[in-house]
Amino acid sequence: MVLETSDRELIQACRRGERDAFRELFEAYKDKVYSIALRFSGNESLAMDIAQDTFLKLFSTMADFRGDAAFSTWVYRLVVNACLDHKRRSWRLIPIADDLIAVLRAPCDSLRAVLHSEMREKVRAAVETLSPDMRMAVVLRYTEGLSYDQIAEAMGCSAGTVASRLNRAHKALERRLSNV
Amino acid sequence: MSDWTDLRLAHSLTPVQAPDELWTRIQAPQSSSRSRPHRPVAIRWAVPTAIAACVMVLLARPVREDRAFASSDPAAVAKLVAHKPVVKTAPVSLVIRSDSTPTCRPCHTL
Repeated sequence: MVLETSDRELIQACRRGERDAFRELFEAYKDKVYSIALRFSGNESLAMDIAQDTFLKLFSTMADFRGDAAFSTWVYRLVVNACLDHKRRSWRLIPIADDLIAVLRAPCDSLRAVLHSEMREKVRAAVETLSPDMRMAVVLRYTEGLSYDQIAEAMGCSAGTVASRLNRAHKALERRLSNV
Repeated sequence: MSDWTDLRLAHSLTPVQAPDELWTRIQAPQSSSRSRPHRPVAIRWAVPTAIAACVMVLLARPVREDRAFASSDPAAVAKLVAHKPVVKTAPVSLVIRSDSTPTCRPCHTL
């Protein structure tokens, strides 16, 4: 079965215009959508814009969902498109500013916490230097833990292309993070 | 791919919770303020103003078609002639100075 029963019922309720169903669907997917948007853009306000666009698109095109693929795949596809559209529209996403501010604001309880935080920043900064396609593959793999096939479906390419992108991304990241 | 890179990526790209504000924004997308700030008026008009100023300067510049050309470089002269089919040049007067009457010598030098 491609569609889970809960998703199917929710989608049907959304098509009937039931407000609670929209809210429930939002609650089910909000963290996934926002996480991908944030890890891709590296900026909280941009991630909010991307997540907002994704859900508006999701609710407005609910009737177009035919159920050929899993609903979660469809949601992933929408958020991937929203991320890449935002990237195309903006000159440059501000990669680490918000995270950097968060680090500066965070209470420095211990040196270990600071070092961990610094390492995460460096990894994220390195990820943000990747091309949009490679970055998206990395985000879907490590933020959402998707398989190559699921990433391929979400990105509209073959599993081989995903493997190639991830391989190139790993090599680039290893070079950049070799001194961390 | 090293396991260390794999581990660092998994550790650094963890999922996060969406802010509660997101639902509010989705319910009222028109009223919600997007993060992209509007450009200040001065910046919006800076580029067109600069272009207009450049055009005006170019138009106001005096045309110097008839300025005198002076060069001893044959290449420069050839270039000028190539661009201007009709070039007014001063007549060259050949002055032959000789102590004796000009006669043609066997070497054809005057």
